[in-house]
Amino acid sequence: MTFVQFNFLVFLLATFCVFYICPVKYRWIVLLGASLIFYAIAGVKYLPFIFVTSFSVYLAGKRMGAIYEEQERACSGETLTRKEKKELKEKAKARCRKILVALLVLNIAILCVSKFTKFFVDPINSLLLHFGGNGGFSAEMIIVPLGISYYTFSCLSYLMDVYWKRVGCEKNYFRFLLYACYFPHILQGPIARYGRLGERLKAELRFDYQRVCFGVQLMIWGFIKKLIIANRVDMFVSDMYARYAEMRGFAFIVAALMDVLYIYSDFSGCMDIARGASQIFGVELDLNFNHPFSSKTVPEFWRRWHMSMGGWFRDYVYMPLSSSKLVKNISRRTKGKMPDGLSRVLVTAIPVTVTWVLTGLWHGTGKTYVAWGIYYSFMILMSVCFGEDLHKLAVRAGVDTESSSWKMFQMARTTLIFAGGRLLTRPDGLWKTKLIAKSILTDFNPWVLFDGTLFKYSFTVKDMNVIVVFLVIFALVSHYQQSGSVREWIAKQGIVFRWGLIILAVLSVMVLGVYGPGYNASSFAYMAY
Amino acid sequence: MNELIEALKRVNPKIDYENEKALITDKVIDSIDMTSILAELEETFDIEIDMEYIVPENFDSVEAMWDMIQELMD
Repeated sequence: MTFVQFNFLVFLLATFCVFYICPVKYRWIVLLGASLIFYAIAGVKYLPFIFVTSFSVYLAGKRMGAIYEEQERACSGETLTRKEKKELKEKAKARCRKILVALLVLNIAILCVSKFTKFFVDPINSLLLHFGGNGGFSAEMIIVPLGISYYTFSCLSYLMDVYWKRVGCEKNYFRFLLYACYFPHILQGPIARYGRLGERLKAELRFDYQRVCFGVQLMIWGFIKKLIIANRVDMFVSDMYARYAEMRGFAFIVAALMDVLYIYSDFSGCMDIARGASQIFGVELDLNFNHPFSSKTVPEFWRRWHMSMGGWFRDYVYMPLSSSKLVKNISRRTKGKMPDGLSRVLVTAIPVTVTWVLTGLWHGTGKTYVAWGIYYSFMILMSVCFGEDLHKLAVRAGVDTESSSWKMFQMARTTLIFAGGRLLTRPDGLWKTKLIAKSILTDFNPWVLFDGTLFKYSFTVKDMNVIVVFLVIFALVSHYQQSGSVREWIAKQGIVFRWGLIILAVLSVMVLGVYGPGYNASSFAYMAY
Repeated sequence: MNELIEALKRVNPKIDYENEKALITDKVIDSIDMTSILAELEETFDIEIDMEYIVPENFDSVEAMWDMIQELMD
């Protein structure tokens, strides 16, 4: 069941009714039940995975919490010297580290097996044949639980936060289970943090008419993005890349830019539906997109795009690597012996590269995703290394770096870099990317934009008009969001306007939404992760 | 405290450390600056900043950083 299936709306309505009929103190149990049903609908076979892994993480967290409590009790006496207290602290940490490492290895191994086995089917079969087996192994034999990347990352962040004492351990298993498999965020995130989502799920979840309205409005906005824009653009882009042999130069540029529009409207649309659905129950999910295309640099872009994933890799991969002995030693050895800028780049290079290659591998396996990781490492290091110099150069050349035109240039540059990154992963392989890049750089044919060539690829004049109209609406909404809340503005309008707008939005989704041939309801781009 | 401000200025002299009270929360310092700040503070004050101390509350202001350093030097 995905967010854009009618069944989901029925499921949500049923959960909503039961949730608000129940007394406040039992409402979290309704959410837990609904989340387990949601998971079971995807496949009952996934439930044992959820129970076993979540219980092991819960037990590990509880054990670490108990070790720390024991150490704090022992240290609270005044008889111990500072040195003895420090030793006790280190001992407790060493015990917790063993638990942490065991659980990290277990969970990451499960994630790797479920995500990457499909790429090793042939070698596994060769091995089986070699040892007398029938070589009948297939990727389908591996159970890939729903939203495993998001679920695993939520569990891992909990474990590391307990280990670093950023959060206390959860004492109630069922509360932890709800945090781990809460249905609005299990499909595509945002990747939860126990310190925020866990606490929000513990609050008294009371009915609030305005919040429910805001939740419904956010969901409708998400449906508009997904069904009217993303699905429409996806058919066009897919068709273009499938028939790449007929295309040249500017047609590829259009495909790449349309692909940016597709991935943004698909993923951010899904996030709006998830956040809206959760808001109906009074639970705020973290923001995952914050006007990414207004970013002036690549690092800023990744602080605004898929924020929960970027934040996860920053807090649990980049920062531990940055504070590792290796990086600190590089910093000490290079400082004063080479220019400050170069020393800064060297210190940053290792954590940035490792973090981005792992981020690439989180999205998928193979050379394309490693290349994607290296591409962003390079772009970010360039930004660190030459960002300041470029700014000085622009000032010297008489450019007003505070002007709107300069900011627009920066935003366009960031968007093009992002489109370049998508070009590495969207076509079916690096060979195709290379061919497309060569054509973009060597074939000059801007007339394809006007001679009707683009309408040969699952794209009509009506589609173009719909996209232009909704892009204008996107821009207006985005502009207004920078200074206030659109939903609060709607709430202040008269009842006729409010309901008229909602009915118009729902009708737009029903009439203009793309549900037809070539469309697969289960194909949210980020569900694959 | 002056020693701390000098160390921070060595990493990024453009930031008004004395008056900024939400260095991390308002994204005045990014994660790349943090790498250099950690190395600079460890070297200047001869301390080891463990991951459990690397939270926004400890780096949002000079005062918060100073309190953390004092705790680590104890």
